[in-house]
Amino acid sequence: MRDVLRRLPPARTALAVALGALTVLTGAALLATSGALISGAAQRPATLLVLMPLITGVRLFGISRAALRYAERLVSHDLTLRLVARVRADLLARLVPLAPAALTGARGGDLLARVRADVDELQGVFLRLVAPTAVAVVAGGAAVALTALVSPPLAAVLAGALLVLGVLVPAAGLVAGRRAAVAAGEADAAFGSDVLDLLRGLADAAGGDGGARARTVLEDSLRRQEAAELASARLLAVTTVLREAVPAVGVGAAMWLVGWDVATGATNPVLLAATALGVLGSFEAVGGLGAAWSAAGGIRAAAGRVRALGEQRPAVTDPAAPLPPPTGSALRLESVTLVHAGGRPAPAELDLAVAEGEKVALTGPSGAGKSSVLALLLRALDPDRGRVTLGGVDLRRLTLADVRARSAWAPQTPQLLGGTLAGNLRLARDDASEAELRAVLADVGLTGLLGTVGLDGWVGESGERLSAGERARVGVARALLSPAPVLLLDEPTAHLDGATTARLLDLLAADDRTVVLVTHQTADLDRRWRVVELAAPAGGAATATAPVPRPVPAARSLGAPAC
Amino acid sequence: MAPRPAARGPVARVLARPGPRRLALACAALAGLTAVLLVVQWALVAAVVSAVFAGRATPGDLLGALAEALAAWLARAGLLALRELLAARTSARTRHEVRSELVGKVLRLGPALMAGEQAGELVTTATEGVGKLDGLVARLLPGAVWAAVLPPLLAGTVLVLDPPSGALLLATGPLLVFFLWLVGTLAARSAREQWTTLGQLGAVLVDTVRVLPTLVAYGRAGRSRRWLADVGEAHRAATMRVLRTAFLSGFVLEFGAVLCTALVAVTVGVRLFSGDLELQLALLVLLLTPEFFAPLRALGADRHAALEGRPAAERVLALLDLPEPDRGTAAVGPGVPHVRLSGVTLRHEGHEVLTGVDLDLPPGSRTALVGPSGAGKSSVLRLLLGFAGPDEGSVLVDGVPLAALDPDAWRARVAHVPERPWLLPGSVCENVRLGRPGATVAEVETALARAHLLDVVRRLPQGLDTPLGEDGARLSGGERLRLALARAFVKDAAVLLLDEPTAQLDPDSEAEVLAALDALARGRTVLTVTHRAAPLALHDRVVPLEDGRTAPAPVPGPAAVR
Repeated sequence: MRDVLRRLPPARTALAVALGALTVLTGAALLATSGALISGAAQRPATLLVLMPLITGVRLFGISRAALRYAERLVSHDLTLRLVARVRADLLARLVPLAPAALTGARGGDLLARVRADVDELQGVFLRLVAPTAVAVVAGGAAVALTALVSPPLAAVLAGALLVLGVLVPAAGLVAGRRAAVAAGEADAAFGSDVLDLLRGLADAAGGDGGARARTVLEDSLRRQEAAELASARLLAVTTVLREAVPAVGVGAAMWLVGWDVATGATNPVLLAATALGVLGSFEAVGGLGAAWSAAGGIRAAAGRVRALGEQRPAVTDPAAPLPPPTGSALRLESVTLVHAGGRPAPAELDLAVAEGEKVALTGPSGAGKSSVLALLLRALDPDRGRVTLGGVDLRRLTLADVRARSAWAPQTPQLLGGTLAGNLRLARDDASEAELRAVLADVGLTGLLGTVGLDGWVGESGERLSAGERARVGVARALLSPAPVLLLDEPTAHLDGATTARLLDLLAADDRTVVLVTHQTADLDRRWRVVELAAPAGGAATATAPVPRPVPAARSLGAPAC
Repeated sequence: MAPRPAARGPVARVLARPGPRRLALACAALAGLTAVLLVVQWALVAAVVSAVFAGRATPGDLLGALAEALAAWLARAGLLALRELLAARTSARTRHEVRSELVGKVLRLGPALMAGEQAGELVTTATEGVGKLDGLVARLLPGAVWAAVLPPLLAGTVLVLDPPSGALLLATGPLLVFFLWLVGTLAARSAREQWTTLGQLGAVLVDTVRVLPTLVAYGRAGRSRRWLADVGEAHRAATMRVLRTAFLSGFVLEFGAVLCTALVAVTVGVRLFSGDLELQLALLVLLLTPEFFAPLRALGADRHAALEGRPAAERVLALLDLPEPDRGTAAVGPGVPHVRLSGVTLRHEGHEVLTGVDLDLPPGSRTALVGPSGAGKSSVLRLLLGFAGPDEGSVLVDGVPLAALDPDAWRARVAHVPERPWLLPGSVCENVRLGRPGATVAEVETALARAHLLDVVRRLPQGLDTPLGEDGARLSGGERLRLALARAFVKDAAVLLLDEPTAQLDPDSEAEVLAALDALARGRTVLTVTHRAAPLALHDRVVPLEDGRTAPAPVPGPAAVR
């Protein structure tokens, strides 16, 4: 919460508060002068001129109040939008170091619900918390001071009533509302995740049990959501009663106290109606606080979650004193052990050297940790023991940007941006010409896409207008296009037919760059490739068996009967 | 004479649901009571003030009247709280119902819906979109009823008490409502544009977070931050444009109401001066004037919520109104059915995905559909699952068009193993049970064993009850696939649809899975789409599919030779 408050621009904040306080005071002044005016008129003075100052005051307050309110609302909303944009940008900046390792672990739907809803909730920080509080202090203080001029005891009662409405009720609401708000926030986020789960697995859910299980889960979170909302509503109802009833005490006290002063002749009778109405008007200073502070629990919870999200410890960080990037691009894993969070088998005591320009294929059974080796080479993860070097330098001594500028990575399920095909490819290299884009698409057998989607065609959200195989190949094409001297490819041929597989592997083997790829289909690899087999996970760890020189099978075409 | 639902606006349709309708009636009754209490309360206050002012009595003499005024005031506060509670309850209930309806709709429409709708936008509609209906049900509706009932009652009272002031109120009230409508219409138009920008900003945010790993790997995170900042600034500018107009209606209301109070004060003051009016009456009129405008001003403040609620209601209702494919009702016959695609053409976004496809799948046959990716293999599976209907030709099950069959009953007979199965965030056991919800633990274990996954599952910390995390984060690609196979095993379906069943497996697991599939396939009709050689051994027929067309005659597969 404090880091959100720090971002408030002081000048705009002061302006918004001043306008808000003036609006309230103008309203109270209008009522008070109206009361004085009709009381004064009822005394039937000799000439109407006596009443002219009051008449002028009534007209002035009547006209200016609306303009003040309008200006106050514009200034405070503009301020809020700027504030939230800043929070959002900072949050993203803090998420960047968490990618790629930590973000994949968090429940994506939850993350989505958090980032969006919580940042939106923070819009309330100024509009619902800061502004009403500051206006209450300024306008309430001024009203009490003015009342003291007429009747100090009444000023004390007014101050007390304002404190009850502005502090006691909100504080009680804050304590009582915190749990309800947290519960409501959690229920909302859970429902959002459930819906996302349902949508992502729609085919499986509908084809499985007709969605019965998904419905049960969703109904359950909907019920919790409704219960949490009702709990909040009951609290709100109590604050409503207090908000409406406390002004009655103030107006009653004004009639009683000033009434006695008038009856004893200590005070001008004209002031009786003026103070009663003025007191009534000044409660507007704190009228919004009761409802506003009951939202504080939700806003605080959102601010806390946003902060927690930004404070997660990144899996990898830049070194304090990075070394200059090495000249060579040889990669080495030296006795590397990785302990996965979920206790999954992962590389243990793994040694692997990849010379510059060498072509290495990693194979092994599912779960042997092949993809983890790529993650280590890209420094998405750090080894728990041992070290990974690039050009002889430990990756942990280099900046992340330097490491990643050296390697292009194509994951098994690549992420496509909701943009154009060309935009997705140029992610790897901005200045790639259209001819180069066409060529690289041909290399991965995607020439067909030029006809259907086109280079400047929209690939859909997450690239959904492409098939899974096409998306994977766009990922490979992106890596091929990259100027990086090392290519890290995860199952680049899983979605290719025989002829295209052979062509891609040939192209990669002929490339100058270092290539490390993960594959199951070692039969397609010729003598230019060194095959490294990661052993099956035994005792929770995978190790590389000594690379055996392989007999070279002729590259053969798969799926011959079909294609 | 009730208008057809489609002819009404989205807001009216939301408010015409039974819950909000009952709420409106309750609010009208509460507003009537409130009007009576208001007049009583202020009449007593005016009486006390004027008596003390004139020196006719001390406050001590008027204790009874003071207490009665306070009691009326308290009762009014109670009524208002009751109104808020009722409104919140109705709103929560309504949003719950609408969300349930949306989920049901999504399930009935199936994956066909997802082709056109972006998942992120759908989630936004179900969460934030429906959330904004709260503004309509809990705030706009009670506020509107209050504004419709209270001011006329109060204006009538003032008209009886002091005709000139009453006439002033009756003239200003409608004028204000007219200006409110005028300004509100302008604001509503720009709010619609803002909703689009807002939705796009949301999509940009989600998309940026989703692809963050890739952006970081390619060193592009810095640029996306700047981009996001630009989108945020555009959003702020658009919102401020809307607000400048939206707040204008507030300005008009405030201006009219405050000016009218000032006018009443001045005219009443002048008439008091000339001796045409009693102070007590003048004070009561002055006190009732702000109360006349209060409901209108509150409604004006809540118009903001209504402005946000209208586009939300539009999106929600548009989704609920999407035409559903006719659900067949015919029962699915027992035994292994004879499935046939005859001259099927399927179009997607203008181009033909499948063209005149003929495919005969006799009971117990094992057919492999082979072709390069993009040839339309997955579309054939979508047709057979009933997630899409052919644009031309027909899909026949034992001679009956698939569209005529009850889709749930049909899908209960079909087991589908997608290329990349989606796993629920629940436990291993729950994921297998998706195949058949009633399966016992023993049946689940048998299915896992037959999918060669039981050993892996036993090694997990909580065995069968181990939560898999989102989308099976704990499992490798091959293990996920075998889990989906276990789903198919436990389902014991008559028709088996396999999408690249071994693409992500190493040779050893591939052999294991193929053996398992061979066992699974016995006595069922199997259709496999693949571009790999290994699974072909399972099949007795191979049908090539290229560019959405099948070859005239199938090639006998390896299994046919056996």
